[in-house]
Parts: sequence; structure tokens; C-alpha cells
Amino acid sequence: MAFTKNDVKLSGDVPKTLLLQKHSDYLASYGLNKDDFEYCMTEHLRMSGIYWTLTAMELMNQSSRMPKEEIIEFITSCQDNESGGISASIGHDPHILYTLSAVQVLAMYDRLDAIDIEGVVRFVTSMQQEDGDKWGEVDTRFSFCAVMTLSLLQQLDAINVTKAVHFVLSCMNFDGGFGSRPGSESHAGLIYCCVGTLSICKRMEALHADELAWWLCERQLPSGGLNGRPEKLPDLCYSWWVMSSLSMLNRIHWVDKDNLEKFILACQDAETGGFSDRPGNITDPFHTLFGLAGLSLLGNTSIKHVNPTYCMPQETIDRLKLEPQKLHI
Amino acid sequence: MEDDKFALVERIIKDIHAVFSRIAELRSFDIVPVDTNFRNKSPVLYLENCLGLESWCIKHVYMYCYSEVMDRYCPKGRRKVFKVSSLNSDRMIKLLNVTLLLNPDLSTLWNRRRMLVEKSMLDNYNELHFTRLVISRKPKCNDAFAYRRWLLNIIFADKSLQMNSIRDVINEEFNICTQASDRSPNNYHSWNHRMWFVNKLKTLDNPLFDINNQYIKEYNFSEQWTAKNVSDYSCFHYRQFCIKNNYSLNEESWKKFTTNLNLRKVLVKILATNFPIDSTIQVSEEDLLAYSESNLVNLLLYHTVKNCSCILDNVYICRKLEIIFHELAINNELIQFYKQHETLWYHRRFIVHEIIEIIYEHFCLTKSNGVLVRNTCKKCTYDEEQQKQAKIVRYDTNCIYSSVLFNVMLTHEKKFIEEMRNNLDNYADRHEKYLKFVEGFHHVM
Repeated sequence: MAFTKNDVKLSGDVPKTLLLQKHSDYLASYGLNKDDFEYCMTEHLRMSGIYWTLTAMELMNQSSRMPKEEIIEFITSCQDNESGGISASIGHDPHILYTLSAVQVLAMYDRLDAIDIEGVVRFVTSMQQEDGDKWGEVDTRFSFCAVMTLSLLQQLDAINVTKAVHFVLSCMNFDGGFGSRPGSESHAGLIYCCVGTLSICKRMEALHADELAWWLCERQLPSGGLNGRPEKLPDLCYSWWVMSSLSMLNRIHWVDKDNLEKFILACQDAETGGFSDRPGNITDPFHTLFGLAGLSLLGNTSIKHVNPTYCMPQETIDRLKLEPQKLHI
Repeated sequence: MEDDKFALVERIIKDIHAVFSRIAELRSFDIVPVDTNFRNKSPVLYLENCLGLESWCIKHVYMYCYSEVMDRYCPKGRRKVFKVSSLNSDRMIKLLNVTLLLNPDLSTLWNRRRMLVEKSMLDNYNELHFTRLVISRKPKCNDAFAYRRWLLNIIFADKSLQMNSIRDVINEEFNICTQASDRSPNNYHSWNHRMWFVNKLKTLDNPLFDINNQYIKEYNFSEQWTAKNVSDYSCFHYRQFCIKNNYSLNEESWKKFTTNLNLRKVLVKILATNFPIDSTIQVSEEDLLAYSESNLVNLLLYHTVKNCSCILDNVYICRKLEIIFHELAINNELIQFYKQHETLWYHRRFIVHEIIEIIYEHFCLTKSNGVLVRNTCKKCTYDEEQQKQAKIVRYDTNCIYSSVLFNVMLTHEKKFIEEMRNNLDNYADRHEKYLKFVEGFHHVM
């Protein structure tokens, strides 16, 4: 398979072992300088940043290094009393993406009491009633966030699940994949959202599992890394989106696991700590989480077991008594 | 020192807005890498309808504008009661402009603009101009495309809109999509937006606007674009959308569409060179060219196993076949010319899939979980309890595999795979495996 043009070559000096302590140090000190430009430029996704960092720390069993009470207080202050939704940061508008991140963080801390749960449910259900977000946008990402948020709050029946499943299935393409809207191109990230929605709603048998898994496996490149669409460069985050989907489809053995592990390890920065999208690039918390979660799916025992549907530690999902569906065949 | 900095930023905001007075003509915005303010001149550049900002000032300008816009116009908890008056809206708009130019992923600030549009403090068309500028620098900015969708919904809801204005809006939208797709290959957002827009035009209720013309235009556009971007599956996905739209062209548009395009000839050529060897088909290419749609479909698919008495629309099936075989011929050439492009082979999967779907539909079958099952007739929803979801019998599969169309397609694919394998295109093997195990032809290949 030496014919692929859009790929990277792993040089000899890339990291080959997992540098857990480095990653923990990296995440613990990330974003400490709140006055800097980078912090300001990324404030609009702060809540997800907290989710990425905390989940990565949880998976490394290092979450005690995070300022728990400060985080919980921040989340409480990001909830909008009127709509019930949660925003990425103080002063920003509530959004389903950040509402989910906030609920995930509180679920891991077992502190869902820190927010007005009925408010969150009201916010999520209003999106289904209005067919999209406040401004009429529809996206399979929103469907996934909605069902995941509600299921973490044990309130999945607050929405019309059949209708949500129907929308997701209307986005299926001939290749078995999914896009963001009906008729949109198949995309590994959005496939994860759609498969995840069906997993939570226990409608996995509606998938064209073999076609879909075939397409997902073809995302693996000679470097071992995975891309998200044909002829795109490999990117570490697809290790998560493709592998978690394959895990829910019970077909994780269809990819070359050893080769993928080599790629993921090569995305570590041995000096700064953290993972990047491709070997040699600058690291960030987003790719750090998906690197660790990917390794967990591949069976690395020095990382906690991750749940493929929720991208949270399996122990949290067990504590909440959630049983997202996985295919058996 | 701090005061100097603030004065400088205020000056920059002012200079940017001096250029903004010509927003309708502005084509693009970018940040120009200049490390220090060594010339002691304004970092705001304006040249040939392009706005530029020197990079040394970005941090100061962004932090200053972002802080003020968040503090003053996005106060926590008071959003709903917050009132904008014409007095402070001018300042607010300036800060929103600068902040979003520098960081267009701030959904909250796009929402503020929506609020101002709803209060008529911002003009719909000026807003389209502003987003064009943002997209010129960030062609993958989903928030900017989402904002355009919101604006276009408002604009098209206005029933008094004149045809000239509609045409301007349409041209502009397609131009912006094309530009964004050009600047950023595999641009999910620009192609997705383009599809949304065509679908929006379908709902346009104006007797002067004919969606069929738009279908043809987009079909032709996508044919040229895909031929030049053979590694960009996003544009091939859009091409597939255009192909499906063309299936439903009305009579008049079909004539127009095929005036300079002899689709039948392409289809007949592939048919004639791939007829089953042992068959008794004794028709020449000339005969096939002259065949009526019905006769051609009957030759390719003959009898059906339908249980209802619905008459199949053979003209529709024939046109579908002509379009899809034309696509197959184009794909053959592209793959022969550009070796080893996954995108081209993926597009071929779509083509094969469309042909197979025509056959399955004709024989009232559908594939479910890898197995063929009887389908209800799409027209009359003929529904007999035993037939519904019943596994098909050998007789049905025989109908498919002995149909001339299936054999032509399979023979053609086998020959092509062999030819490309000899041409050292490794995707040929992959295609063969795909046909065998995903399309399910392993027992006939």
C-alpha cells in the first residue's frame, strides 16, 4: 500500500513509549496564564476544553491535579437561567455542544446537583421542538449531544427518541456513512456522532454495519494513522472517531492495531508533553484526550478503560448504570 | 504607555471602518505577516478591493475589542433585558466587525449580529458582504456559512423580491461557494452550503425562476470542477447530488440538456462492447441508438416479477441509465489518466451503486443487512404480508444476474479492473474486493 499520496512518514526518533507523566504535567499547567492571547482566542470553547482536559486526566488517574471546586463553580455560573442551557464561558450564549461538555464534567465528578437539571432538559427538548438550534441550524452533532446529555441525566425519554433516530438515519449515505445533514458527505467525525446516537437510543441494528465498517477501515493509511475522509491527511483525533465507531460496531479488529498504536505514540511531544494531530506538530488538550482514549480502545492497560459511546471513563458510565448498545455480530 | 496602546487600537478600528464604507466592493480580507511596526504607519492596508491588517497589531486589537464587546454587550444574565439603542449600536457593530474578522468562530457574536438584524440595525445585504469577507480568509468557517443560511432564509421569505435581485443573490452565493472550495480543498462546509442552497432554491416559489435550469448549470459546473480536482471527494459528493437532481429534469429541460450532449451514444457504446458473449442479442449499435426508451429498458431488464399492476416509467429509467453511464465513461477516462486516486474509485462505487439500485428497484428488491429482500412497490405501496421483508427466492436473484444490464455492468467492471491492474493502479484490487464483499457479487465474480 505504498501508493497513498496524502500521508506522513514516521521518522526514527519519534516517541515509541507512552509518556504518561509528561502528559499529566502538560495538562495540569495548561491555560494557567489567563491573560494571554491564546487563552482569549479560545474562550469560546472553554467548557469543552475543560471536558477534554479532565477526561484525559481521569483516564490517567490524575484528575486530583485539576481544581475541582473551581471548575464546578465555573460550570454553575455558565448556566443561563432563562433557557437552561450552558455556555462555553461566562457571557457567551448557551449552546448544546457546551451543555454536553458541562454535563459530562459534572457526571465524572458525580456533582450533577451543581446545575439546574430541569433547566438543561428544557433547553435540550426545545431544540427538538424547534427543529434545530435557536437559529434554525440542524446537524447530526446536535442530535448526538442532545441524546448524550439527556441520557447522562437519566432523562432520555424527555425527547421523541424515534424522531431523533429517524433524523440520524435520514443522513445515511450509500456507503453506510453519515454526514451532518441529509445528503451531506460521509465524515468519520459525524459517523461517530450518528453511531453514538444509535448506540444510546439502542437502535444499532438500523446501521449497515458491514458497509460502514468497510469504509471506516479504509481510513487507515500506510503510516498507521487514520484520516476522516478519502485522500485527507491522517489526524490523531480520527483514531478516536473511527475506532470508537468500530468499537460500537464490534469490528475493531478490522484495522491494523499495532500500526495505529505506533502512529498514536509518534504524535506525542517528548519535550512539552501532550499529543498533536500529526507527529512533530504542536500539542493541545483536544488531541491529548483522543490520543489517550484511542490507546485505551486499543487495550493499553496503563490507561483506564474508556467507553466508546460517551468518551468518558467506563467506571463513570457504570456508576450511572448506563448501557449504551454495542453490536454483537 | 497603556493609553498610547488604546489610542492606537482606536485608530486602527477607525481605519478599518473607513475601508468598510466600501463593503459592497470588498472582495477579501487577510492578515499580512509583518513582525514589528517599523514603518510607524497604519497597519490597515487597502489595495484593489482587498483589506489587509499587519500581523503585529492583531494581539492588541483582538484583546481590546473582544474584552469590550464581551463586557459591554454580552453581560451574563442580562442578555434578554439588554437594550441596544441607536446610540450604542454603532460602537457595538464596529467592535463586532473587528472581533469577528479576527476570530470568526465566536458563535455568540454572530448571534449578536442576528439580534441587530432582527432590530433592523444591520442590513441583510451588508451582512452578506461582511460574511463574504470573513469567508475569504476562513473558507471553512461554519458559523459564517450558518449565518448566511439564516440571512438567506429571511431574504427569500420576502415575497416582493424582484427577479433581478434574486438572480444577484443566486450568483453571489454560488460564487462564494466556488471561491471557498477553491481556497480550501475538501471543504466540507462550502459544498454542504452549496447543497443547502440548491435545496433552498427548490422551494423558491417564483414563476420566473426555473430550478431545472439551475440543475443543469450545477451539473455542468460540477463536471468541470471534478475533472480538475481529482483528489477532492467533497466536490465528487456534490457531483453525485447534481446527478440525482438531473434524473428529475422536466421534458423541456431534458431536451435543452441533451442538445449538445449525445448521452445515448455513450450508453450504447458501453452496452455493445459488453453484451454477454453467449447471448442471442442481435442488435447493432445503430439499432440501439434508434430504440425507444421503452424498448431499450425492456432489452436491458426485460420481464419483472412485480405483483402489482403499476406501469414502470421506462423513459425515466432510460434517462437515469444514460446519465449514469455517461458518468461511468467520464470516470473511466479520469482513472486512466490520473492513477491511484482513492476519490475517483470512491466515486466509481457511487456509479456502480446507482446502476445496481436501478436493477433492484426494477425487480422490486432491496438490500437489507447484506441480504436481498422483497420490497413493496414504490408507486402503489403494494403490500402483501408474506411478501414484506420476505427473503427472496432463487428465482429473483436469477432475474437480476441474468439481466442484460447486470451482465454488461459486471463485464465492464471486470475488464476495467484488469486493465487498471495492468496499469499498476493498486486501487483496482480494492475495487474488486468491494464489489465482491460489499456489493455482494462474490458468487458471480
